[in-house]
Order: sequence, then structure tokens, then C-alpha cells
Amino acid sequence: MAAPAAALARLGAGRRQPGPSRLAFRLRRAWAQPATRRMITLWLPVGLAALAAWQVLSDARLHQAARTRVAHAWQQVHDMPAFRLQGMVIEGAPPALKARIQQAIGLPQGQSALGVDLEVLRARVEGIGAVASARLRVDPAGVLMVEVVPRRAAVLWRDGDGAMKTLAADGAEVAAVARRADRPDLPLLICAGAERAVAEALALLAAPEPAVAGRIRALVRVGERRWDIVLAPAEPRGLPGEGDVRIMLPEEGAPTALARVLAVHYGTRLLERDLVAVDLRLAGRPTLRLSAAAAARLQARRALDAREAERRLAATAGDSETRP
Amino acid sequence: MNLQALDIWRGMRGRLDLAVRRGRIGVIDVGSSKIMCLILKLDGERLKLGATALSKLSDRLGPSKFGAVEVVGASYVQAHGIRRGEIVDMDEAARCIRHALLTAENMAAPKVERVDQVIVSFSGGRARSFSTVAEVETETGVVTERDIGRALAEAPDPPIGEGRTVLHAQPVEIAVDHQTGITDPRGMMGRRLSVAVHVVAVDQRPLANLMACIRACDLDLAGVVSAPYAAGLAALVEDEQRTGAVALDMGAGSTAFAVFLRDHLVCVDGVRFGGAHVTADIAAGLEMAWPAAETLKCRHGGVIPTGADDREVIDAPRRGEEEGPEIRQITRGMLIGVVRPRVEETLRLLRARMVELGVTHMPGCAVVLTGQACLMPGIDELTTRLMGRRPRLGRPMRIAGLPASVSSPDKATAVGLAVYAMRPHDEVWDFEAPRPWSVQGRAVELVRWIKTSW
Repeated sequence: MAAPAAALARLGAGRRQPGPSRLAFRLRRAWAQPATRRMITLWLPVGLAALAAWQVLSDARLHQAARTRVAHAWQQVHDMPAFRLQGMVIEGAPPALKARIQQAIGLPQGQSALGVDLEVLRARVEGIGAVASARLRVDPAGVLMVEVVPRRAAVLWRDGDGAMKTLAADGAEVAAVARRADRPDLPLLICAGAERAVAEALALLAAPEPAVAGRIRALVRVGERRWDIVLAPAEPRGLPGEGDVRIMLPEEGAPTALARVLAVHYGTRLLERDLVAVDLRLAGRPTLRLSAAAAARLQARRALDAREAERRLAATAGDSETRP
Repeated sequence: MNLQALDIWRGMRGRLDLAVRRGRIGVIDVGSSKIMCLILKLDGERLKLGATALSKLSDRLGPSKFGAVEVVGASYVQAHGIRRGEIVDMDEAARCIRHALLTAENMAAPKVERVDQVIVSFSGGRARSFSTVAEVETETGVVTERDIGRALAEAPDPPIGEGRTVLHAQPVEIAVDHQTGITDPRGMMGRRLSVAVHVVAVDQRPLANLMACIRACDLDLAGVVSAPYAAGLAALVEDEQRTGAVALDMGAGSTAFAVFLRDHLVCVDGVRFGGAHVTADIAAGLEMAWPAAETLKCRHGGVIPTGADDREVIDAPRRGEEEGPEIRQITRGMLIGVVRPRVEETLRLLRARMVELGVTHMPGCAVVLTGQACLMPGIDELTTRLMGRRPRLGRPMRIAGLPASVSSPDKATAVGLAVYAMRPHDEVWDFEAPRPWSVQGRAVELVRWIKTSW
């Protein structure tokens, strides 16, 4: 209705549109309000900018690209020669351990000091059994300083599978050993479960006098409950293992029992006798097990003694008979 | 009278109250040659004193209201698509109104942001006056608003005719027990209450067109006022409104008059001839183009020939010859000879209407001329001859902020709308009509009783 009528009016009188259209009117009225103006000139651009920023920030590809860029720039800084590691110095470890530590750290040549993760390296170094603790730092000169406190091996341990390891006093592994003879200075603990009771074992080992202590061949952990001390014979005889004396200590109160045995030995040279085992497992019944020969001799001696006693008895009885 | 059918006016009164509360309202005088828009800033506190239900019937523009209204924006644009006060091209008329409103709002920009309610003047639609009287017995011996409402509801419907609707219905004469001249009967003792209502009726279709046009401009109507009524409100001083006066609004599309007596509007009527017809006569009689004819009328027009007019020569180019080497020339006497018959005929028709309505018998009645046509030289003399009374040239009353450019007689209608906004006369729809028994009605009564009791 509007267009043809307006056209007619224009045709007739040749006038232009006398005023704004409804839309233009509404827009101008809305624009006249300062609140609307502020909304459009201020909040709308701010809102759009915020939306764009949110889009940009949440766009994964842009993130990715940004990350690669940053990583690349970082990499460039990394690779600058000024930051390169100049060398590695390991302190406090024997040479074999040094080699192992070097291998464990395993930094390639030209490693940048910025890329060194000291925590990871420290964990690697401390992962070596022989290292108790390590401290790593990078010198201002670019040298990696590794200060190592090696673990002292306290005992040698052969587990249930037959593998031999050295253990520290707290039971932590130090190194693997091929033969017993490699570490003759360390006492031998045998059987699974021994690694948990190394402290007990060491306490037991501290007690005997050197003469006995030198004869100790091994400590055997029996049933994960108690210790057996295996002593070599006083004079080696025949095959190794023949003539061993086994002291079976009880579960509880093992040091006391051992002290009693040693006290007896001190008086009677018990442990130098022909024994197979000293059984202290039951507190009220200490038991000695003799070797077969000793047992035979004991039997013979007892028989002899018995006959002697009989004869003496008979003699005294005859004496008493002959004397009125 | 069927008050339920006038709910639309009740809604408009509600919007007027809303605009007064908000403190800003627009006023648009929609005429046939010009559209004028004023943006008003209202002091709601001061005006509220007059707009509450308690003082509905008092009409005085007292000193307390002075300065309660300030004109912050005014605009004046040429009207297109309106002839004889009625819209003939909705789109063009809407555009003109929007243009006027935008210009006025631009001017008012820092003080008033945007107006949503407007009061509009309506100058077409063959406005005619009717009167109806009702008489009721008061419920208690004291007159209450309910009694007035009942009286208004019981008044018989005036014969306004087919396709016409009520524009104003104002109670003008109230008598209690035959004591007349009462301004506010509430609280008076009496048995019989008689209320006379003055009804102004206009054609329904042009009015609906105007309302639709205003709605097309995103505006809420807060009132429609008859144009001569508004012109009278602005041009007549208070004494004239009290003792009796006739305001003649001589516009481009129509010439109308409004009669005031005892501060009330008592009669509105008009003829559908105006300044546009004079211009048409000049264009036809002298073979001129319309804009040239209009210019000629405004610059050299007159209705009383003098001797000097035969010698005075003016340029009057024929149609199509404006740029030619020779421009035709006529004497002013010729021009007057074309203009005067039309003006005389218009005034005679007007006088005939006034005689029909019995307005001429009012003693001491002043005649005030407003409207653009009254600026024509000699019109007051012509009116004296025809009306028998010397007219006064009415300029709109001063309200704060009115620019000096808006104080010539042709701007009187717009200023009158502003005066109407300040203190609208009570209309019958301001009084509660007693409804048939309904739950809602009873609830409304209960609420009112609670409000008044506490």
C-alpha cells in the first residue's frame, strides 16, 4: 500500500518523501537514547572483542601452533652454545660406580644446561643400588656436579633363587655379586626374608668373640622367622660343609640365647667339639646334636662308664662283704 | 450513556497519568498544512495535585501549577497526506509526524530523552456538539462520586449518528436540588442530583485512521483533543473562559469554533472550508501553480480592498511561466477580489452554524481569532461585519520554555494541547460507572473501601 501510493503522490506533486520511514525513525529514536548508544559503541565492541579473544584462546589449533612456536623459540634458546654443558664431575664414588653413574645419567654430547632436569637425573642416580643419595647441580661454568654418597655394603645375601647381592645395613640392595669369594669380608646371609632382618643379623654378628666370629660361615634365615648360625669347624676336615656346627637360635630372644651359648663355649669350648647343631629353639630345652662318630663315642663311653660303675659297685659291695 | 464503550478513553487517561508521573509527554498538533510537535517536561509532583481523583472536578489553572510545565523541544513541519484535518495518505502522514517528532526530540535531547506518550489534536471528522442531562436521587443524603457515576451512566445517549463516536463528554452543569452553578458537588447535602453532559462527536473512521497513524510511529496516545477546543484553551484568557467566549480556529483544512462558558467547553462546530480552499481558488482563478498561489496569498493576501490596492502591482506568474522572460503582473485588488468571496462565504457558513446552535445570543461574548488564516490583513474587520462583534487576535498563552517563534496565533492549538496535558478536563469516563453485580466489581469495591477507610 505504501509504495504505489507514495509513487502516485510523487507523480502528482513531484515531492520527495516528507519524513523518515518507520525503520529509520525507530533507529534514530533508539540512537537518541544514551543508554543504547553506550551499548552499541562501547559494550558491543567490547563484547565482540571478548568473544573473539575467547575463540582464539580456546581454539586448539591455534594453541598447538602457539605451543610449537614457543617450543621452537625455547629450543633455539636451549641450543645456544653458551648454555651447553661443559662436562660432568662425579665426586664421592669409586671408579666402577662412577662409570655406572655416568651411564645412568646418560646425557648426550651438547646437552643444554637449560634442558637438564636435575630431579630426573637425581632419581636415576639414586636408582642405582650402590648410591645412597646424590646431589646434582650445574656450575656457573657449565659443569654438572654430581655428589654421591655411596651405599656401604654390610652383608652378602643369597636369596631363594641363588642370586647373590650385597645389602646395606638397612636391607637395601647395593650390588649383585657373582661368587662368594668376591666379597669375603662380608658376612653371608642366606634365604629369602633375610633382607628384612639384616639389622638383627648384624646385631647377632657383633656378639661373638673373634675366634668364633671368624668361623661363622653364614646366617641362615629359617622360615622367615629365626636365624641359624652356621659355623665352620675349628679344623677344616674333609669336604667343605662337613663338620659345620649349626646354632639354631629361637624366634624371640635370639641375642640372649646366643650369649648363653657363647658363655658356655667360653667355659667349655663347646663349639669346638664334635657337634652338628646346638638347638636353642625352645627356651627350656637347649639341645645338642652330636655327630654320628661323637654319638658313637659317647655311647661307648657311657657303656664303659656304666660297666665301670657296676664294677665299682660290685667291688665296694664285695669289700663290704669281705670285711666283717 | 454507555460508559463501557468508552474504555479506550479510560485507557488513554491512564497513559496520561503515566506520562505525568514519568515527567515527559509529547504534544502533536496534526493540521492540514502543518504539523507541530512540542516536547514537554512535566513536574509530576505539582501536577499530581490536580490529577488525583479527589480534585477531578476543579478546573482552575491555579498559581500552584505555574511553571509545572516546560517546553523543551518544538518543531514545525509541513504536513503531507492530510486534507481537511483527515488523513488521506497514511504513509506520508506518518512520515511527517515522525519527522516532526524527531526534530522536536533532537531539540529536547539533553533534558528529555524520549517521549512515548503523546496528546494529539483532531481537526476533521465533522465535530458536532450534543448535550444530555441526567437526574438521579442520591443514595445517602450526601452527594458522592458514585452518585455522579450513576447519573452519568443513566444519561440518555445523544443522537450522534451512524459511524460516529464520542470524542469528549464533559459534565458541564451540575445541579443539586435545583441549586445550579455548582462546581464540585461531592459532599454536598441533597436529594436530587442533576448532571448535564456536553458531548462532542466525530466521525469514527478518520479518528481511527489518526490513531493508527500515531501507533505507527511507536507512540502511545494519551488523549485526543478537538482542535478548536485546544485553540480556545490556549488563546482565551481565564476571564473570557468564565464569562463566555468563542474561539475561532481558522486553519488550512477547516474553520471551526469552540464556545467556552463558565470554564467549560459548551459547544464545538465548524465548516470544512479553510485556507487551502482560498489557495485553490487563487490557483484556479489566476492560473497559477499551487506553491506560487500560496506564496501570493501569504505575502499579499487581504480581504478588505482599499484604494491603494488598485495601484499596487505584484508578480503573479502563470503556471509554467515562472522562469519566463515576462512574468504576469496583477494588482492587489484582483487578488483581494479572488480571496474575499471565499473567506466571506466561509465566515457566513460559520455564522449560520452559530445561529443554528444559538451561540450568538450569549451576551458579552468575546470572539477570538486563532489559526494561520487569521493573520491575513483585514480579517478582523470582515469578522466584525459578519459576527457583529469585534474579534481579538488570540495569541497562545505563555508557558515556560516556549520559544518566541512559537507564539504566533497559528501555533495556538499546540500550546492548547499542552494546557490540556496540564489539567485535563474531567470526562465522564473518569467516574466509576456502577457495574452489574460481579465478583470483580465487588472485589474492586472492597479494595476501594479498604483504601478509603484506612
